[in-house]
Amino acid sequence: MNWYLSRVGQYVLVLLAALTLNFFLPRAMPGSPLPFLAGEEVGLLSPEQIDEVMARYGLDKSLWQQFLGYLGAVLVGDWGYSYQVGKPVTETILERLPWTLLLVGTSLLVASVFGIVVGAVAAWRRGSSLDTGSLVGAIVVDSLPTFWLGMLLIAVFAVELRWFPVYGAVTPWGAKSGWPYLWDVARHLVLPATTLTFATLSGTFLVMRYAMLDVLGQDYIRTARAKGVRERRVLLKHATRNALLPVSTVIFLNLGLLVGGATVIETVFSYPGIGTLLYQAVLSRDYPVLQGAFLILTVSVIAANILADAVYPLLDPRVRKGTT
Amino acid sequence: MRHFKKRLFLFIGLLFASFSLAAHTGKTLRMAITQDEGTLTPYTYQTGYPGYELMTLIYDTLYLMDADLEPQPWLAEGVAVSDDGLTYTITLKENVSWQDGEVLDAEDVAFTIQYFKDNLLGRFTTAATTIAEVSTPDARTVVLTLEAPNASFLASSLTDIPILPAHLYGSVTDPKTVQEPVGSGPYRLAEYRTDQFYRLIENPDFWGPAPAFDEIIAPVIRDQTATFQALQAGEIDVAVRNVSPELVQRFETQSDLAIAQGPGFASTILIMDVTQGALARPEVRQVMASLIDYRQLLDNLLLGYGTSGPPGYLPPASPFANPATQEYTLLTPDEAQTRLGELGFSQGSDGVYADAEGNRLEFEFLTYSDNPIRLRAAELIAQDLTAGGIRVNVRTMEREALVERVWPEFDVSKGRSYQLSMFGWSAPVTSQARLGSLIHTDPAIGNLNLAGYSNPEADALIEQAAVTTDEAERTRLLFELQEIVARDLPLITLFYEDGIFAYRPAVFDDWTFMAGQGIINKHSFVTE
Repeated sequence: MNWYLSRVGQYVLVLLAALTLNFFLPRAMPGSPLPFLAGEEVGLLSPEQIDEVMARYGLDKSLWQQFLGYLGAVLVGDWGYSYQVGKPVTETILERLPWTLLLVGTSLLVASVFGIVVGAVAAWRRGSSLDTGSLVGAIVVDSLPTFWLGMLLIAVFAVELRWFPVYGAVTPWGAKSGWPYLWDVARHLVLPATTLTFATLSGTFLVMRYAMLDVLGQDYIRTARAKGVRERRVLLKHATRNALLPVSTVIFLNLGLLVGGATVIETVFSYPGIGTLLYQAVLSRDYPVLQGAFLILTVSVIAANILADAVYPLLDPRVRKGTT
Repeated sequence: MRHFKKRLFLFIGLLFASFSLAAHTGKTLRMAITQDEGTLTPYTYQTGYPGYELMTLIYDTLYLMDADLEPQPWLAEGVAVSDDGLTYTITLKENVSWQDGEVLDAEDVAFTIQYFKDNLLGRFTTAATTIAEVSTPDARTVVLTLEAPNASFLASSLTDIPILPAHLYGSVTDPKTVQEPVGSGPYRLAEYRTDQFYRLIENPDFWGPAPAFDEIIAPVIRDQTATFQALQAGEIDVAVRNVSPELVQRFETQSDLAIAQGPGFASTILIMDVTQGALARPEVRQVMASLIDYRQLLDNLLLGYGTSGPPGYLPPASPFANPATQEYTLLTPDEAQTRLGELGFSQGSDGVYADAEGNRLEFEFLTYSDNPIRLRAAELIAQDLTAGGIRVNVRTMEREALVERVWPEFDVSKGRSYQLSMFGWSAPVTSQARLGSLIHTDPAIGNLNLAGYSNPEADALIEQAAVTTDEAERTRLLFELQEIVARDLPLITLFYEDGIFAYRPAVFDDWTFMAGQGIINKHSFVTE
């Protein structure tokens, strides 16, 4: 019980620290949201008019007053209005969230499954051409700039072959519901998800491969083999299951970052996710959106950690019995 | 087996491809824009270009600039200006209605001007505050009385201010939260998804020339490469984005694409803090300007698609450009060094000149990290100046951070903390010949005077030009101002990039190229 309490205490502290940083960091950046508050050609306004605009958005108050106001508002669920879009921050974020979850979730799933399977097999067949090939492949893919890979895929599969669309998450003039809509969404998803899968694949693969190599050198594997357990069973039951432990940590960490989106890929493919929202908010000094998006990001990282804490004992009986 | 896999791959590919050909009917234009533009109301659109152009497809102005930058009546039928230049009596067109069916009348115009005065917005508030009084003798007549005679009132204010519906905005306290635009223009907003796309449809009851399209779909494509890939792939018909010079040839050879090209009015300039140090001396600025290889900037960076200089700021395509201030006087590095010697500077052991007190001609030169053309221009200029004994250290910065250094709080009276910087002004500064904004001493008039330049002779000319309503006399005063700019160099104008646009002529080929701006303007979207 004590352990849980201290854990909860830790998370509350992290959350408070995040709220504070989310507030002060964007404001520490040079530059001002003024052009987005007063429209273009803000330079035409007189100093008094500029002050009036700033006062209207409470930006004339001292940072501490603004901070306390922000804390109070967040606690009652008021996340403010986006300077840029003029919509409530929560609405702005919720509009993007499904797209980001779809894109990042799909890639994470594919990359995890693929990485685990190939990583396990590569370690199992250590030194084989499959092992060397996938290792070299992983390192090459890892060092390719993501935006370049994305543009390459667009150039080949969208511009030359015209199999997939170049931009966006849906066709603006396309179907709005039913199977045609889902099909449209799927077609738009293929290229960005493939790019993102390549970008995250090598991490899972490498961790899985090394964990597997480590496990394969353990005594219990030798014992299992000595007992005459069939190779297939040793691989699946004895080795893979144990090797999955460090990999699951990596996956949980990725899970927390899921809502952060993938700024570069979203930009290359004009995908309307959280990544592009954050990027645009940074450029336009849209403080309310920055605060809101980072808050969600923080909360989901914390949630992923809690989930990992909860799931880990199920995966690893040693933790459950407190005999680590 | 391998064969089968290949076939399967091909099959899946074809399956996907077959759906991409899903046809769209009617006269539809698919036009890629560069970023989200809010809800397309006068208070929520984001960029001067293309945001303002999209917004004014929905809202109308009293006057509209034609392709040659002459103001023509739009919502107005005509205007009578009093002899003292203070009173503008505007007659509105008959039978103009809002998109919700209400009648647009003089009350709406009066309301709009008051609303922009009360609810601050950079572009339109400034224009509205030059109007002292508004009266509406009848439903189709508006009488505007100005604070002071203003020669450019018709061309810069009446063509700019979008008219708001009084019956809708009357109850709005925060106009930034208005979600549904209702104007009197040729198109209405049918669908909008933040950061994804806009769908505008023809306004069937539009009072003016018929809209050219049934439907305009404007997807947001942020990435430049992706934009032109979408154009090549046939997913869009036109892009509002300027085609970069190196792409022009490729598009010209692609048979289903066409290029429209003409002069652009957005400037690229070298700005200096002229309030202190050696940069305060016009002679030093002249030496600097004479060292820059403008030809190289034009040929290597813009591949010839642009206009070099000019020292007097206004480019040849501007109706107010002085033909005598179009060329810089150039010096070789040796000549420049001799000149620096004459000015009392002497060369140090590392080749950099310094004055008698040892103040070196060494400057920090800021440039944008997100603009490759400006970054490369800064590097080339740094080389040119270094050859002449003036050391320049290029420093790239993020846009907002740079603006904070050169234009803190967008208020030139707050000072500046930079020495040299790349910068640029948008098209209206050029098209409206707002030289006064660039160089007048008083921050209220010289609101874009980032240099901190001050010259009583120039100030007097600016004040005189502002109240001169005689066109020839005003042009003469502007010519004289350009001579001062070319001589004193409060800023060094480097080049104007051409407007280059690519489009799909099979879909639409009747674009109107507006001088200084390009093909994305209201005239292109209605059949005139």
